[in-house]
Amino acid sequence: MSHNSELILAAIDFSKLFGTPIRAMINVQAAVFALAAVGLNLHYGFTGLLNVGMVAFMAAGAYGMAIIVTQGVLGGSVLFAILIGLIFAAFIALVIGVPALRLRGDYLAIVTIAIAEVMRVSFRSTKWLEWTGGPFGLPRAEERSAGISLGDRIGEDWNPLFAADDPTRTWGFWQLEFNMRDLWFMIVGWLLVILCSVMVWRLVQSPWGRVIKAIREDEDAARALGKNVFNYKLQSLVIGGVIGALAGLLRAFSSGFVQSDQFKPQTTFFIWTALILGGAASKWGPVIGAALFWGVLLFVEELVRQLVDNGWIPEWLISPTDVSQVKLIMMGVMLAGLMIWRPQGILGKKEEALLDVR
Amino acid sequence: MLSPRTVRFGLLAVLTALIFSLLGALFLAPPAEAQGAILNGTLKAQGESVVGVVVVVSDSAGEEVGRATSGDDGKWEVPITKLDEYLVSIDVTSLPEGVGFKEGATNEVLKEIDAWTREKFPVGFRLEDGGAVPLLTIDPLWQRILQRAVSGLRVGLLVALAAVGLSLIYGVTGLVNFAHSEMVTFGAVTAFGFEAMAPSLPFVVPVFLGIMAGAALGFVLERGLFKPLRKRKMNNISLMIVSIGLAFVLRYLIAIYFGTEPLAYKHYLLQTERNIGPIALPPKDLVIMPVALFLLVLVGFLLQKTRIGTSMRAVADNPPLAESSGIDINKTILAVWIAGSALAAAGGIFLGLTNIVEWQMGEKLLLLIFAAVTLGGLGTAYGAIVGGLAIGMASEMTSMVPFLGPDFKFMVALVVLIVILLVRPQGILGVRERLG
Repeated sequence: MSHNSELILAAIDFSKLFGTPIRAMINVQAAVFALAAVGLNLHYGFTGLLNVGMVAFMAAGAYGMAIIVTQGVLGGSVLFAILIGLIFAAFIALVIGVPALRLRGDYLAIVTIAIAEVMRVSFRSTKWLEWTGGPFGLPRAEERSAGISLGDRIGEDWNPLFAADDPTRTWGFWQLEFNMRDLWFMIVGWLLVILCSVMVWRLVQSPWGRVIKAIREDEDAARALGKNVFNYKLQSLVIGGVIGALAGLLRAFSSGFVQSDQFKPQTTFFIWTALILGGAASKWGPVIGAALFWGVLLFVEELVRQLVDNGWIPEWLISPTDVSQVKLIMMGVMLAGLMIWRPQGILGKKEEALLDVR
Repeated sequence: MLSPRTVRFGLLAVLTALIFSLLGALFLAPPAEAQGAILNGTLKAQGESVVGVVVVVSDSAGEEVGRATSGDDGKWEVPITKLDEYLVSIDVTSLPEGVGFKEGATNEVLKEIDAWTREKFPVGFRLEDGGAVPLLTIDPLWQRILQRAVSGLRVGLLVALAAVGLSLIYGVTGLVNFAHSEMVTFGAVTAFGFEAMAPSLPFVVPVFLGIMAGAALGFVLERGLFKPLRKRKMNNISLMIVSIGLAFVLRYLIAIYFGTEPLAYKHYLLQTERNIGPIALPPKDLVIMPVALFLLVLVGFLLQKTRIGTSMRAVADNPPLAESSGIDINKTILAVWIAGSALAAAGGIFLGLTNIVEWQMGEKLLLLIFAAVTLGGLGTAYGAIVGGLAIGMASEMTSMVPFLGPDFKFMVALVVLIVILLVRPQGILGVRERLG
């Protein structure tokens, strides 16, 4: 028995087993999800809005920016494009909010996921190929193969760490080596996360924040006190949506392109799991949740992969090609399990984490 | 008022009725055909049929597998029986005087058939008469509209089948079940598995077992997951999020054990479309549509006339009142889960028959189901049926609109959903008070 376990220990690549998840926890991807979760926290955690279409705001931000840049408006100015992306996301929030916020929670969930899908399918459609790049995304395939990326301006020209004479320079150690471009996006991304978290927290502490929390607890009571519930909800949706758009922008810049498949509904559910894991309605819950979410997911994936590769999980149970799917089962288990046993997540308060529609 | 015996009897009645309707209908269905397909085409030059031209089909070994002569309407057909790369060529000596090939075109076309994905594989030759531009043949507009309407009806019936369960479950428990899509996939996939295990049995057996498996899944989910969670006083929003997690678990379990490759049922692989008046349909549609319609009528009948159906409607309408008048709420909810899940499975199997069996098939349908349910009014069974038909029709008709292409099929349904929520949020058959 002990002999057997020694064998297992010897064959497991611990550096990779722990290195991969730790890398994922600090990588840009985690910052993107943290940012989106901060926005969702304002919607769900503080205002009680069941927004199941968070990815719509990310798509609005990313596509708004990418279209302006690739169409060369104002010489393809990145700052102007970012501004347009954020405005587009705010506009989408109004388009969703004005009809849907009058509805009860579960209806809102259905409408938001539907609108997110409408947006994804329209961006994917070949009808507006000139503008959106259709299924290929932006920049267009031929530009991308010529090495054009959305992230060049920010990742290279505006990157103090980047040296044009040595573009392959890296920094870091062990599994945590990053090139200068990724490192820069990580720094910018996590700074944005901190900035937005603090901003949301300040907002929530303000009189405005007390009203939205009152709406979350009892909409009718807030209305009875003379508050215009609809306006407050709409404001919350817009602010959280713009933060979501920042997440979409960060993802577009760091990956260098936008493509409709980046905005499938499952991204929204990832963000939800991250938020609930960290703790909705808490200050740092979404941030810690997003980092931990990727850590747990990739740890499980790596562990299963190594077990499968070494033959300790028989092939008929999970074959090597299925390992990446295990990650998503894990995500589902996490989301359902948290909701059942610890709806307040790691940092939340239980009495703030239980919403009901009535 | 509602004894366990009546509940059991009601359930039994639902299930046997389901079974018999399927058995009856599927025995009437044409038997499975051998693997194979038809290469076909219509020879036209400037819109005129080219008659009496010999088309020769040979396989990759150069062996001739068949030849045909174009008829009065310019049509030709050559059956093929194996997956191969075929060379389809026109015997140039048989071409009428003056008819030749368009610039860049030759008398030979290579056609690779790598899956029996359809009954007919069209092969086109670019003929011309003297040099003018040849035209494509297009059916008259009214005929295309009719054809679309029929396929809209088919899609609508399938969506309605899946939607009834979602709506009923919402009605009696208040849960928006995001895992309903996986119940659709589950039915299709298990039926596929049963078919693969015993390919010689008539197709009705795997269909029946698939629906039973769906019913069992409903039972397990209610008894194993949702009932205990309701006991813990979890609210419906939390349960909705749990159902999202559940959907992921089921979906990716199916992805692992069924695989991500889209597959078709071995029976009914290919069927030659039959012309019924102006519309062309594969015979399987002639079975699927009446069976689906029958199931929906049956659901309506059971809801209206049986005890369990009445108690379902009572609980959906007002749970405390229903409970105080002696209805066993938990039994009713269990019955709804079983029936809803079985119907979703049936919808999945029929969808797999008309399209393809795939791990994502339910996920792709989910928003259409939501749209149908919302359109009809969340929680109302009849609303879900009306909504399903409307959504199916709307999405199939979209491709008729000149500006909108097939990309928009799905989108139109979602736009309908959003608009209906704006205009009449309680849905067509819903009641205003359901809204907050």
